[in-house]
Amino acid sequence: MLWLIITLHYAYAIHRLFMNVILKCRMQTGNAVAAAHFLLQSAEAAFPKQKKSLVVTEFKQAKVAHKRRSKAHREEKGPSQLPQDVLVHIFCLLDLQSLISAGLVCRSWTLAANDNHLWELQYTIFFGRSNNSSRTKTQWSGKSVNKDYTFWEENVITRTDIDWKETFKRAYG
Amino acid sequence: MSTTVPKKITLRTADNHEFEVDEAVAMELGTVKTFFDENPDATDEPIPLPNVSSKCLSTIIEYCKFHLSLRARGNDSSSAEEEGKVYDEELIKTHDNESLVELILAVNYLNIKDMLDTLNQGVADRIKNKSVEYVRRFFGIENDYTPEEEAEIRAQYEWAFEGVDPDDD
Repeated sequence: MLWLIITLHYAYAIHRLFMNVILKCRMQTGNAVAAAHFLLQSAEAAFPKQKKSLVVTEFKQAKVAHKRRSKAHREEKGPSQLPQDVLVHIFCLLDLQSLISAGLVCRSWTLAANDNHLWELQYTIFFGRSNNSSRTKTQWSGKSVNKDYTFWEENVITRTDIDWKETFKRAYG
Repeated sequence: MSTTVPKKITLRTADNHEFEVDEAVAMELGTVKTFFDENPDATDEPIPLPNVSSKCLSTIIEYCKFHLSLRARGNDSSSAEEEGKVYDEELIKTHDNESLVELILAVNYLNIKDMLDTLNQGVADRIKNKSVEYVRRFFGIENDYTPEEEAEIRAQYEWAFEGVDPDDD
């Protein structure tokens, strides 16, 4: 008899604790998840079957909600990544060596640094616009790059079928 | 110069701050201008800018106001240009990498071409002649390549690697 009373008392205490945990989960204090796991196991042992399935469902829902929240939080907090079009714009202001270095930073930067038009621009800077121009390397400064970038913007449509990186590499080597 | 009171437009940031600005300043923001071009009958309700924090927006508004005033001067354009340059340099200088990236994202969203050009030049200057590792560390970018993959890409550029400054931090 005493044993039964102790068990019931224990079950009641767990029930209260457990409800607190669920409440806490709902209130976005996700750090109670580990404790909730332990309590879930205890609850499964102590609650009547029907109530048990109810609390288990509640718990699972709370956990999914917590996961979503923490994921959203992570995305919010993580280092902001620049979009591809901005990266390409920045990379068009770089000299050859810096462009290649930038292209090794991470996958997203590699993708931007391989933009065909960037290499057309590099080709223009190094070898000029005409096939007849001399092949001496021109000095690049911020200003001249900007000027050529404008030129390049105006002429994009006509020469997209060329792999400019390959073309540049062949001409450079 | 018109003597009527300039029309005001209210902008609301992601963190729920409202900024009341002159119409001329608001029209510097390409995204806002497009909105008004497409909705000429828009009411006076605040324009929500869900991708812009109040910190960024106040910087952006200051920038637009300053450059508007420079353009308004017009006649002494060479000194105005010099002042503009100094302002832009100061703007870059007062932003660390993280806040510079945050500002670029906002300016890109708001489609303010001149300001984006200035900020992008600022980032380009910080990347120039730096090693890959330095850039990663400087911008807090995680290397998502395996060492093997990175070596493979590096090998593709053997023909070009020379004269990169050593890390100086």
